Amino acid sequence: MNLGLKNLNIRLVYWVYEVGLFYLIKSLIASMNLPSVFMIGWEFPPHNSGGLGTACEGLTSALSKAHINQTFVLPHQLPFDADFAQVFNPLHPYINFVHVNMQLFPYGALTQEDYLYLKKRKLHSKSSMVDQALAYAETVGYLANFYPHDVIHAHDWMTYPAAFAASKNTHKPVILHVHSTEFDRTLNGNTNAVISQIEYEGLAKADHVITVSQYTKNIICDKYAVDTNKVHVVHNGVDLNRQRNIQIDNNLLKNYLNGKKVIIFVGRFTSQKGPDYFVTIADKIIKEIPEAMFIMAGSGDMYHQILMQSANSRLTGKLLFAGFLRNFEREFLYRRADLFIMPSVSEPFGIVALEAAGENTPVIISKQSGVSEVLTDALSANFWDTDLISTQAISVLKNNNYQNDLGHKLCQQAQQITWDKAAYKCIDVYKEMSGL
Amino acid sequence: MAAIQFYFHVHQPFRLRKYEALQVSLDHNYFHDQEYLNLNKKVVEKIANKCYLPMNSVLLDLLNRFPNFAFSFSITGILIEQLEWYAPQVLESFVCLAKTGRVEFISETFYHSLAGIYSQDEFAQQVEAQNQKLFKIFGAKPKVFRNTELIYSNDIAQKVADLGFDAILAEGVDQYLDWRSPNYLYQAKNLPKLKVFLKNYKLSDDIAFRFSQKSWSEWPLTASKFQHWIDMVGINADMINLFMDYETFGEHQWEDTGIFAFFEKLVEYVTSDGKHFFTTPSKSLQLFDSKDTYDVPELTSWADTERDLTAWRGNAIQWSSLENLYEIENKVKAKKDPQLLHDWRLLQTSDHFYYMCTKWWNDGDVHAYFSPMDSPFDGYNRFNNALADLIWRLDQ
Repeated sequence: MNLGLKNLNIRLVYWVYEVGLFYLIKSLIASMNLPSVFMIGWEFPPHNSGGLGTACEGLTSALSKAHINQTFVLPHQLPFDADFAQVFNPLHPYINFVHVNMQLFPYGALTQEDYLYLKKRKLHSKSSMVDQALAYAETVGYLANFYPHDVIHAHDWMTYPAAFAASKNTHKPVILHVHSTEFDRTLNGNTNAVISQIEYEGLAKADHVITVSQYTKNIICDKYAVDTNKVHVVHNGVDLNRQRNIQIDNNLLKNYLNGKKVIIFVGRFTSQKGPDYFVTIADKIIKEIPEAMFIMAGSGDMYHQILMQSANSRLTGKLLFAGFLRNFEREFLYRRADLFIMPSVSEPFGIVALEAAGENTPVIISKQSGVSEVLTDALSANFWDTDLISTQAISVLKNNNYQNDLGHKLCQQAQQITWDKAAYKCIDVYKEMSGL
Repeated sequence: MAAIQFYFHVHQPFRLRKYEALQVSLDHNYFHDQEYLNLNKKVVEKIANKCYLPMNSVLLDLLNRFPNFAFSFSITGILIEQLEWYAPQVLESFVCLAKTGRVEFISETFYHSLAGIYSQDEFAQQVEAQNQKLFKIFGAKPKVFRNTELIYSNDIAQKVADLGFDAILAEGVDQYLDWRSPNYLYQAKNLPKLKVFLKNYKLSDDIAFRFSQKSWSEWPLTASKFQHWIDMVGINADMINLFMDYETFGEHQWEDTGIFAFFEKLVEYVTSDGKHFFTTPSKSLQLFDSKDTYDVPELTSWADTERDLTAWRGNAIQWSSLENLYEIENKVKAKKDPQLLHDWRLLQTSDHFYYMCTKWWNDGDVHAYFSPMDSPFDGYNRFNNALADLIWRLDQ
C-alpha cells in the first residue's frame, strides 16, 4: 500500500494550521495537562447511516468544549486520489479530522435498491467488511505516528483492529467504546464468527472499555466474559440545541396530517430495531383509533419484508414509509408526532428516543434498551409485548391532557441527559489511563 | 374464407410522480411533476412520435387504398384526456381515422380500472363516462365491450350484459377452450345474447411479442409468411382475432424492426389475395352465429403465461392497495367533490398495481423497461402516500 503523502494533503494541512492558528494557541493553553486523544471512528454526520455517527459527533463536540485535543480518524471516500487527507471541518474547528480514503458500509444492511444504486455508481467495494476493517487498521496504525496523543479511543468493532495497530506503534492505552455488539445486530443467532472474534479479542485485550449502557455492559460481560472492573458505563446524551435551531414553519406543522394522530418509528429496518413489532402494534392501535396515521422513517435489510407485512395487515394509506430522513425532515416528524414508539429488540442505547422526547413527544421504549435506564419517565414494555405497548399507546392517544403532560415531563428529563456529562465521564477514564 | 379482425388497444396511464410521505395532506397533486416538467406529458409525446402518429398515418393510407380494410380500436378515456392536453394533433389524427367509418370503437372503463371486479356501480359509471367520451370525440356508439386487460369471467360477462352490450372481447384461454378453437364466435355462459370474441393468442403474440425476437425460430417474420399462417388457420375458422396493444407498432417493436412495413404488406397481401377479408366485431355479429358457450368460472386476462390476475393482485402490497382503495368508494362519492372523485378514479388505473408486481422483479428484467418506478416497492410507496392523502381529504 502506498502511504506517501501527496502534495495536496500537505498543502491542506498547511492551510488548516494557518487558519486554525489562533484557535490552536487558545486551546493549547486550555488543554495543558489534559490528555489528548487519538479517536478512531467509522462514520460521522452527515455521512452516517445510524446512531453511531450521531454519538461520535455528540461526544467529540462535548470533549472539544472541555478542551480535549482530539485527532479524529474516519474512513471516507475522498474525491481525489490519496490514501488519506487532513480536513478542516468548520462545524468542529477544534478537532483534527483525518480521512482515510475508503468506502465503508457500516451495518452491512443494504437493501436491494441500495445495492443496485451503489453498483451503478461503482461504489460497492468487492472486499468484505472485515477486509475493509483490516485495511483501515493498516493505514490508521501508520497515521498514529504523526499525531501525538495520550490515549486511543475507538468506536465499535470495525475500528478495534485499527486501535491496536495504532497502539502497537505508539504504545498508548486503548479504550474501546461499545455502541453495539454482534449480538445486538444479529438476533437470529447467525452471528458473524469473525466479527464476534474481533469483538471478543479486542475487548479482552483493551486497557479499558466504555459501554453506552448497563444493558450493553451486561451483554459484553455475559457473552464475552469481559472483566467488569475495566468496563465503565457512559450513557449517551443528546444535543437538543442543535435540533431546536432548525427552523420549521409552524403552519406547515399544524397543517401536516391535521386532525390525525401521528405515531412514528425512527430507525433502521433491521431485526435489532423491531420494525416488525411496530407494524404489529400499528395494526392493534388502528383497530381502536381508525384515524391514526403511522409513519416509519428509515430503511434497511427488512424494508421489503416490512412493506409486505404492513400490506398483509391492510395498512395501505395508513402506514407510510418516509425513507431515511435527515435533519429538517426528521425534526419535522419529531415535532409533529403525537407518539414515538421504539420497540427495539436489542438496543444498546437509542438516542432517537431522547431526540423525540426533546420535542415534547411522548415516547414508548422497549425495556431491552439502554435509553430506558436514563429516560426513566418514559412508558416502557418488553418488545414482544405488543398488547401492552398498544394499550399504552391508545391511553396516550385518547387523552390529550395525558399526552401533553407526559410529553412535557419527558422533555424535562431528556434535557438533563447531555453529552457534557458523557464527556466528563470519558475524561475521567482518559486521566486514569494516561496518568495525567 | 375467414374474417380477419385486428383490434388495437390504445392506453397510457397517469403515472404517479415521486410523491413522498411528508407531502401527504400538504400537496394533493399526485400525478404532475413540476420538477421534471411532467413525466406523463413526456411519455405521451414520446409514444405519439414513435407510434401513434406514424401508425395512424399508415392506417389512414391503408384505409384510403383498400376500401375493404377495417379494424377496431379502444382508446381509454384517460389517454384521450392526456392527448387533449398534451398532443391535440395526435387526437386529431385518430379522429381522421374514425371519419372513414371503417374503424369500430370498442367500449371499456374510462380509467382502465379493475372496477369490474370490485364494484358494479363504479364499473357502470366508468363505462358510461367512456361511452360519452367516445361519442363526443369520435361520434361512436359502442356495442362491443373489452374489459381492462381482457379480464373475463362468467361474472364479468353478466355485468357487461347488464350494461346492454352485444359482445365482449376475451382471451382464448386454453384451459377453458379445451379442444375448441378460438377462431369461432362463442356466447357467454347463461347469456345467449352476449357473444364472446376470443383472441387468437398464438398469431396475435407472434406480432406483438415475438416479431423482433431474434432467438425465435421463425425470425424474421415476413408478411408473406404470416399470410401463409393465416391461410393455414383459415381453413377451419370463421374468424381470426388479432388483438394487441397499439403501442406494439413503433414502441414495443421499434420502427427499425420493420414493423410498419410488415403491417402494410400484410394488409396489401390479404386484400389482393381475396381469400380472407377484414372486418370488425359489430359487423361479424351479423355474419356469424355462436358455435358454443365459453364457460369461465375464474378470472382470466391476457397477461403473462398464467393468463390470470397475478400481475395486478398477486402479492400483499397490490392486494392491500386495491382493497383499501375500493373500501372508501361510498365515502368518496358522498363528498360530492369532483376533483376528489377524479383523483380517486385515477388511482384505480390498473397500471399502478402492475408496477407493484414482484413476479418478475429481477435486475435488468424487461418489465423494468415498462415501469417508471425504481422498484415495485417504490410504486407501492407512491400509491400508499397518495391514498393516505385521499383518505385525509375525506375527513376535511
